[in-house]
Amino acid sequence: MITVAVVGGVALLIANLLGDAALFFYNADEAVERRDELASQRFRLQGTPLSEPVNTFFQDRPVLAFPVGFNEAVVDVVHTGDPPELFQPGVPVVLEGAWQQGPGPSPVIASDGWHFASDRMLVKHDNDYRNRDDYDERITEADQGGALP
Amino acid sequence: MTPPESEGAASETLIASYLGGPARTGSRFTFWLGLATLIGLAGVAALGLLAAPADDVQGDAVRIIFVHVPAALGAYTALGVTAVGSVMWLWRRSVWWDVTAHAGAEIGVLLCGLTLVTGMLWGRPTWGTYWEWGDVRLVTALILFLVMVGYLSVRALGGDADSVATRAAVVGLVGGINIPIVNRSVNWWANRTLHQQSSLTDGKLADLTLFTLFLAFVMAAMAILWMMVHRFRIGWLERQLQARDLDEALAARRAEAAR
Repeated sequence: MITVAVVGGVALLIANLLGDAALFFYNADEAVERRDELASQRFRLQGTPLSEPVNTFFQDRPVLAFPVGFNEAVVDVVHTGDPPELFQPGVPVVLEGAWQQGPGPSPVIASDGWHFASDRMLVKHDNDYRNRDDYDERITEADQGGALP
Repeated sequence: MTPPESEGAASETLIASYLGGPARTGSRFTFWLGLATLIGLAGVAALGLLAAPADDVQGDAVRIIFVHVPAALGAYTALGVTAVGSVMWLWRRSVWWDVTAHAGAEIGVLLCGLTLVTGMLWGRPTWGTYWEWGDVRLVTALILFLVMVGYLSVRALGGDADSVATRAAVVGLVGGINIPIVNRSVNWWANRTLHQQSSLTDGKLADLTLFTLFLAFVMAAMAILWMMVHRFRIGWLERQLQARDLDEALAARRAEAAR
């Protein structure tokens, strides 16, 4: 009886804790949707960098500017600080920061009058591994005008 | 004075005569199993480090998959055995299952720790951080590790063997409930975790990477079996020694009382 109570109690506790912890980040489309609700609050935003980042200055600070996308929503990101080594277009990232009104520095892609000011970045590597040998092969084939579909 | 090399053999004979049975934990089966595992693991290391391709994005960091994923699945398996053993102890008072549960927990804690460490070593160059407290997979895996360290602590508290087994079994069950949560977390909270979803079932891996990974699974399974057999036999001998000591102590008290 005591065993059942202890096990049940702990299971309930874990389920409860996980329910709260489950929202690690908002995907870019959700972040856009909830912009009013989030206001100037700090949160994490997930999206895929759509182009090479541009090293530039914004409000007298050196920043990286690049757009991220998820589910057809686009967010202009202005990032302060060094990005992780693997940061590159096409590999999803999780950014920590807040919405700021006004356009960021160029490139402005979303052009909705907002940008996401972040100061912490993690690379979210998915389970799509890309074989380096295959990649080199594809490049060689492409260079030779080879048989790429 | 006994020469050092025969000390082991001497104590083995002593235990054997004391218990009236063999005191070894090895056998012809475990010898060949251990040898095959060692050779297989060398094969995994050679394929994983030299033959399998580097990843286009991660580079060589991808190779940690050959330790991380088999260690994680091994931890689920060993700790799953502990959960089953805990149920069987509570339900049937089976000493065999209690000793099995203990063996599974020790090996499971080792593998769960290895999973956490290799994950962190991969996370730093890939994610840009060793650890994220907000990630469900990472946090549930840490909870599983801590609960099972708790299991081993409860076993080390002492007391009579049956009470120790019962207390530990309750902790073992709590750990058991956590196993499917850890495993399924990346699917239940899909698109909510930093940790990727299963590389094996949903991911795209190169053929040679996949082959090396499967070889690593087989070798991990063999290594776990080898460790389980040895750890079980140690546990079983310990139980017999305890029972024997208790019998002797009781006999001594009775003899005193009769005088």
